Amino acid sequence: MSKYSSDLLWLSSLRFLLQHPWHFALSILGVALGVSVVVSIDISNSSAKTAFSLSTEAVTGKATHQIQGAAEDLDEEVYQTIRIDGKIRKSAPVVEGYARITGVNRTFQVLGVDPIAEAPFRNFASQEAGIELSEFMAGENTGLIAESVAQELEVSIGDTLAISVGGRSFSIRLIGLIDTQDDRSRQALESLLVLDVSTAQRLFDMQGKLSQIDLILPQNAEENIIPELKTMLPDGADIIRSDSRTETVEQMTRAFEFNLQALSMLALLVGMFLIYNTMTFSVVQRRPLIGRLRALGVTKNEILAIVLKEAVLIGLLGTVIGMISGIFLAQVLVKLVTQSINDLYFVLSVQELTIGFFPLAKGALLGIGATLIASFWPAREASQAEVSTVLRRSSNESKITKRILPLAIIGVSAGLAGLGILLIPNGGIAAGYSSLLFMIVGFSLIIPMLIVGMAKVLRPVLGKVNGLIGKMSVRGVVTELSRTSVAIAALVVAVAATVGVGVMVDSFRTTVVSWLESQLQADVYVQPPSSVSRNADSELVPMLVDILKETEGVAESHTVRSVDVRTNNGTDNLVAIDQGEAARNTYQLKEGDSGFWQDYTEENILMVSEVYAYRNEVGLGDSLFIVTDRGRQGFEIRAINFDYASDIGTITINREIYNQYFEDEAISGLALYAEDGVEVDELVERLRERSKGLQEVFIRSNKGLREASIEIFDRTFTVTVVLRMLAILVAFIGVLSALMALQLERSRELAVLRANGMTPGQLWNYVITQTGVMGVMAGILSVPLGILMAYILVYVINLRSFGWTLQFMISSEVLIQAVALAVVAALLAGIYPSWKMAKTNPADALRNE
Amino acid sequence: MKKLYWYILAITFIAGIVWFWPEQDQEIRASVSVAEAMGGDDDEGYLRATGPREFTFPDDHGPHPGFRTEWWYYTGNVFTEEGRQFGYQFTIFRNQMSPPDNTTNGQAFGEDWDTNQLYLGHFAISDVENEDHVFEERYSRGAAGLAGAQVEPYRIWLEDWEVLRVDAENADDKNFPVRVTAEMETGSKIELTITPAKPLVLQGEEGYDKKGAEEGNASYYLAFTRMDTEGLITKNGEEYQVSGSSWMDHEWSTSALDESQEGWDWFSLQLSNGYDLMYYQLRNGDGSVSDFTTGSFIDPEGNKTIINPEDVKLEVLNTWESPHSRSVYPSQWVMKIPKLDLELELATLFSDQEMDVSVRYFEGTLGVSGEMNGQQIGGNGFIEMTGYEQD
Amino acid sequence: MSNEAHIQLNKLTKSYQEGDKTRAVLDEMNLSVKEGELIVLLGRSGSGKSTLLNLVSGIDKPDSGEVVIGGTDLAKLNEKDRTLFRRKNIGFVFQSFNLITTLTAHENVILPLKLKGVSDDETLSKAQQFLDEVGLGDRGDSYPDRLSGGEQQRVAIARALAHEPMLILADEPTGNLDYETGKTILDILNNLVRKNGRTIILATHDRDICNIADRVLEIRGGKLREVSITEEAIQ
Repeated sequence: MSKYSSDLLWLSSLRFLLQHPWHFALSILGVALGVSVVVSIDISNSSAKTAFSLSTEAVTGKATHQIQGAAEDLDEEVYQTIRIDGKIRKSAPVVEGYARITGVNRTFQVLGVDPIAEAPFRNFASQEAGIELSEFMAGENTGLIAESVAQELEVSIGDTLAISVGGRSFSIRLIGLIDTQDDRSRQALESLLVLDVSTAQRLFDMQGKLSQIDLILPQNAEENIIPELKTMLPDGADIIRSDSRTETVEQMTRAFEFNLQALSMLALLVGMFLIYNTMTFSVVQRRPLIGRLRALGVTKNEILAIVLKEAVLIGLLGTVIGMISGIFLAQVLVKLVTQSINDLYFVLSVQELTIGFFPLAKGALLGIGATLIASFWPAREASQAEVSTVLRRSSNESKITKRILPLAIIGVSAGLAGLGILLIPNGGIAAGYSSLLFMIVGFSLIIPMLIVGMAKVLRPVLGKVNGLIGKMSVRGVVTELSRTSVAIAALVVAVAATVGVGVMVDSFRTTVVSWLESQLQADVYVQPPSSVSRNADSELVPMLVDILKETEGVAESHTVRSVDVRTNNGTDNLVAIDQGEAARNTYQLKEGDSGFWQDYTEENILMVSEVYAYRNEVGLGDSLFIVTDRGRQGFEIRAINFDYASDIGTITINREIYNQYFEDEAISGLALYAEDGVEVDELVERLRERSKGLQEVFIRSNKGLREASIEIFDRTFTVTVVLRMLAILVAFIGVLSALMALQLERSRELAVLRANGMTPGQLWNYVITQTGVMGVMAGILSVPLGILMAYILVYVINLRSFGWTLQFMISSEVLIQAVALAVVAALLAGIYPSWKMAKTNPADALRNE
Repeated sequence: MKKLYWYILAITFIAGIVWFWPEQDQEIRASVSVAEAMGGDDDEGYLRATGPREFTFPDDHGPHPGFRTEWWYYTGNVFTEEGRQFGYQFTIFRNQMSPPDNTTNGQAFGEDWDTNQLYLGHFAISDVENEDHVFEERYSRGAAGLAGAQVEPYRIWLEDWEVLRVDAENADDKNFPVRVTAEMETGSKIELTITPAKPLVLQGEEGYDKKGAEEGNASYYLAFTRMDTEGLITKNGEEYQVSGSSWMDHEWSTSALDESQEGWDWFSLQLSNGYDLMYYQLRNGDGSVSDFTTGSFIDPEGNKTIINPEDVKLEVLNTWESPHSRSVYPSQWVMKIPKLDLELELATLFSDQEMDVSVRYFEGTLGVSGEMNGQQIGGNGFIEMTGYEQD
Repeated sequence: MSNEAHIQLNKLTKSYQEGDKTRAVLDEMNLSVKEGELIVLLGRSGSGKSTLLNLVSGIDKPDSGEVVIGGTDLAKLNEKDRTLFRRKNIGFVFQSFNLITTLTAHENVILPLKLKGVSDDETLSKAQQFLDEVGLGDRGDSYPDRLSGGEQQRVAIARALAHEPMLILADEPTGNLDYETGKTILDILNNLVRKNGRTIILATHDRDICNIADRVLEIRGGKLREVSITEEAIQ
């Protein structure tokens, strides 16, 4: 009984889906892949974000404000002044930095605190938490880590941790473990090493200095307390809100995250084409069936509803599978995302995924929503199906023939609209992507027309090559344009996406490689290991610098100092170079004249990178105010240089000028020139020998550094490449499913051909030729769209995200790969139907549909 | 129709997602576990008070690193012009956290943050009129200029709480006036100038005060039993000009009490006839009074008479149960010292003067009345009671 | 069973666009059918038989004229109402059987009843009853592709009758069947229609069928012409 109590129409739909398991599975797969990519990127991003905010929360604690010095450090006497004279009881000294702990492959944030002052700020680092003060602050190198980390490292209280800070080694005796009381806290503390202020000062060579002073000030502090406190601060020190640091960091990664998201949406878009494609097929296949139902008195709306219901089912199943696989995929992606963030921006360790509500909700909404949107037109078409009283071929083909031109016109208009969006001033990244979307949709609407055109060219060609079967194959593509065009469009978009991203990465790489070539003029580079690859955040031991400079075979040297300073634009990276006028050969100026190099050793002028200029909307002649140890100081921007090392931007200044304003002798990097006739590799060996025991530093030849830089570059693009691979996968499956369905649907026609004497071999030929033709068409069409996409990615989205000038670089490799991808997928798609039809008795197929 | 089915599906779906909703905005909660029996109460390596010694001044007014514990303990009763009474306690404790070794030698290590010296401050004001006792506790490392004790110039301080030598014409290196300044977070504040009115007293056996049978269970104990006090007290936003009398104990030791001893009752009394009495009884765990109970009686010129436990009859007349700790403290006594022809009635001026800080104890101002040599006398005092914690 | 006209076509006109020309398939056609009558509609391919059936079933709409079935003028209804009318009142038997391939024989028979909104218990027994009557009582669980052409058409007949429509339309019901099977099908159809007192219009080009008809009409040049049964038999 109950078997019949369910809706017969729904039953009929379900059975149809189950009778076409390939089809059903592929459409679910289409949704699943799209959702999976979106969800995994979202989860990766949000996990990275959560990890960041948790670790920030752990480090910032409940501080509302912080006192910071001009160049990363602050005289510790300021703390006494603030606490004793200023009577700010809720104040705590902090020395911060990074260290690597031997045995675990991640960078730890080192927090040097005074546990007695910590209670209002970070309970885990406070005396009240149970820290054994006598062990902690008595002058020995001791510290605390979270219990979970201790388990990971297999150490217990009393054991010694070997750590490395900027290439210098220390051992820290573990005197306690931080017991975290919940998951969140565990996550927050899993990359934290807590030390006493004094221990941290020793580690970072910061005797007498603090990184900052944390404060908890009452809400109305801005009015009375802060101005009063400011009068107690030395020049260059300032009170800033503790969340402003988080904001800066979040701003840093915003464009990065957005682009990842956009790429994941691209995967979903390709997925939508797939869904549209499969739903259209499933409807077209069932047109007679639907016609019969209509004849029996099923209304149009009931048909519409039932098809949409199918879509929801597919969407739901695809979404659920997509979300689950997305979570798995995220495990991989989060590592890549974290790696990129670590290479590019700041130290971050993501030990576990944060599977929040929003990524999943978004995935579900997009999955089901996209399925519904993509299915709406097929569903509507289904409901418009003619009521069939007799078995008859659909008249759809004549309809699309009429629609080719209007579609193309709409397509061109959409493309123009996309172009229009690009012209919107200050359109931002979102405008770039929506323009991209318009162009893609526009292009796919022109595809039917392009197919007809291409068929005209291809028919005689294939006729010559493959005789009648060749001609028939091409002809078939046009006669069934309503189906073939969708399949080809899906294929084109998917393949074009891979071309676009491929070309963009290529362009980027080429630009960076040629930039590195001109940038790296010296023969040998010496750098301390830094926790963020693209940011020199540690220092060379001064004695080492002298020793290396005096090494036999070294003709000349210059140094750089990289430091974070506060400017009127926020916290920025300032690089001081001691190269003098010779630097003109190293730095490529985008704007500004060579007169800059004559003046920059004497005047308060500086150079900013193009990314910096773009991000902060500054140009030549503008003033930049930097907070120095001598107070706030104005500098004129007199040059803008190309720089692909940092997407946050750098400010470059002469060391002599720097020394006038900063009390800082430290050196972050050393470049050495070999004497004539000295073998660079030998020199490197000699330098390495001499550096032993002083500090572990990277001593690399020009070539070695270039390779290392390119390696880092490639690593930061791994996520993009993975996404591209996923898009290729989606595309591949899409083509496979679309073409396979197309051929399977023609089983009756093929049976007729077989009955009329076509041999199984000829059938193979026919089917494979036809799918091959479609593959070739898709491959060819994907090239212009791909290049268009690449163009927008490079010149609009990249520019708006980061501000880089890139050389547009199309490698034939990427294009060949695209066409090959399309053709191979298409050929593969022909195998199963050919095999099936060649094997089946034509009579069976003819007997009834 | 079948729509319900879909709704149910959708709701289950959403519910499933909500299940994953992360708990937001929770504090990071953690505690620190340390190895058992680390350091602990091992006296190994510290200096010990093993016998009488010579004192040199001003050095011995300063800190004695190497001993585990040291304090500078100021108590006093002061009055406004109108006779309104305030009691105050201001103490800075020095705790050495690890035994002195070759490298550190027990000293605070100069400018550095490294130290094994932990300073602790207790500050309380007893507002007798309002029966209101306010107090605060502070900690700091004895380094980086945050807290410390030094002789030249004489300064004992914990951040902005400090005792600072004020030079006066009649000052020498043994007796000199100081200025005591401290402010609580609530704004309650003392700024008092305190000048010794009697010479320095070396308590116990020439400053060596044995407190237990065990070797080294003793302290070095110096006191100014009567000091003229003048200055300002601020409480509840009101500032009062006050004057009166203070008492200062400076004591250092590594271990004082024997294991059997549970706590003490410590009286410091300034009688209206110019005599001062210090008397403490150490209580054993079984409730009996320890043999090491002792006291001293200082005449107006500063001459000391030692008082032994058998000289004193102390009877508790009343008790008070602390609402904070449930500890029951004595609150009224009769003290008879026949040897001195002295009989005193003592009572806390109000009950709740418990110091509810990291180690709880009672430190309160006392009213004194009685007879000495047949003459009616009055006076002020302070009582410190420890070891009344309920287990 | 009243004698009033059950189905009434008045001045029914329908024409199709063929290139530039307009071809009138039905030209002011009139027809009146009584309840319980079995009408055979003759005509060559393309003469307009299917068009007429489409108009009578409400699948298509006339250019002008009235299609009154049981008092309802289908020409005045919109598409949706015509569909709803059809599901309640019309049963179909097609040349190509037109069974729903994704439903079993039994489910195919139930479908019109379900669409009509008949409750389940009744549905099941009625459907079974009709399947029994067409001789396929034991094949209810079979899918159409497991049935022979004749069997499929028998299921179609059961389906057309199951929901007790006012009118059954049969479009070349024997067209796809061999002679013997065709005859059997026709017998079954005739028997069941008579037994249940249904009205039926049966379009065919097979003049053999005429001998079961109450009336035979021929469609030619857009008009209907009544043909006497004997006349047909002679031809």
